[in-house]
Amino acid sequence: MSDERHNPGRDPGRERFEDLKEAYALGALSEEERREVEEYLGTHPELQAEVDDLESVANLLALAPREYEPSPQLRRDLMNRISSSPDATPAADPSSRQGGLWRLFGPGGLAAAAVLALVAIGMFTWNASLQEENQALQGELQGQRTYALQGTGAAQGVRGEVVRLGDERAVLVAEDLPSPPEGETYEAWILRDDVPEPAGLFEPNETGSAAAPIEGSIEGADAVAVTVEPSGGSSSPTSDPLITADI
Amino acid sequence: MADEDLISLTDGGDTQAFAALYDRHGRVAYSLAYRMMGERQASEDLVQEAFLKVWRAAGNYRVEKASVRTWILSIVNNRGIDVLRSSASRRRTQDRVEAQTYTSQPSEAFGETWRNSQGEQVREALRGLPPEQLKVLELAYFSGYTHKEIAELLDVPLGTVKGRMRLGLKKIREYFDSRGMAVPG
Repeated sequence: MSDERHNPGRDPGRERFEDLKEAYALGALSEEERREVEEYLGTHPELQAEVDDLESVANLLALAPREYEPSPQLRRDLMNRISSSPDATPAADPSSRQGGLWRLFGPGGLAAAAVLALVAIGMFTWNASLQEENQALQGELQGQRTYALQGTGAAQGVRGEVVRLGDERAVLVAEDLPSPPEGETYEAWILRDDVPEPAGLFEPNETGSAAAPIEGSIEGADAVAVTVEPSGGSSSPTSDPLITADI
Repeated sequence: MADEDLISLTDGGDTQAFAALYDRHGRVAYSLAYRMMGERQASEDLVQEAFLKVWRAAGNYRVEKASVRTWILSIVNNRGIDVLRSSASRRRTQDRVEAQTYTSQPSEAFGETWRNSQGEQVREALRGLPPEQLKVLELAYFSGYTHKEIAELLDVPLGTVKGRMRLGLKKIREYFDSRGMAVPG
């Protein structure tokens, strides 16, 4: 990728930079070469933007691998490490600065929010004593797995998870979700082999939060997706997904 | 709360903000680590090390340079490359074998067919690359080989490796440009 405005032959340093910049962006230089590029960049800051751009493309490779779920033990180990770290400083109280579900349930508590949402909206019934209900909730929490939401377009800023409860049930929990346009609603889909199955309608509340049961089993599904559909929903998507969660 | 705010809180020693960052980005970080290291324990070690660096160096994050996710993944990638380069690992030996067959077999790393996520967009862009360009990018980014090592591995001139890197990155960029999409930061 040569700069058409530049004649590298007049500047050996620039010629060398042009020769190495892609490998630099990919982290594929030796230490000596890397220092060479960085020293040249230090004296030619006008080239930094070009390198930043190459790095942004190279860094996309990080998103390409098939996704795997780390073990819950990794999170526990990590939190234990930083809690005992001498570098740890007194923690600020995030509850005073966080909003929505995070304020109510704390980080990692979206699963609990999802379970409580199930209870609150009466989609599932626990016909049992209070003690049995508590046991059921604990069981749900122990069996849960979460899949992060990724938003695009109008839902770029959304965050949340699809929380899998046991073998089949799942709930989509989202925050910072914009209201759908007038006369339209959000519809969830379960994707299997690129075939979408309707999985329920929902709308966020006035603060942009939503907790929606996924109607249908996500066992063996590839992803859960959300589109904007006409009020009443559609039998197949009529728009591109705004939110997805790879299962 | 935005990632940038969580980083700021983490820099102040807020363990809950740090936990929230892990909850958002731990999975993709682990997936990258697994692609690089090839087995669970080494991958978890790498992710733990990377997130400890996030904890200790959150103040070094610069919002104008990249998104928080990209920053975290860069830490995973850079540290992973260090680990791979410092050990004559079995994984790299395996790559040596795989490298010989790139012309006849598509990359398994990108064989999944998930839809409509940023990851899928990237995978789609990579599926459009000629195999020899994809292989060079994979060997550099995931396996930590230098361009000279890749030239030796593939038994091609160094200039060819540089050219494949250049064209591969250019085509990924063009994939996003042609669809009017910004390259995710």
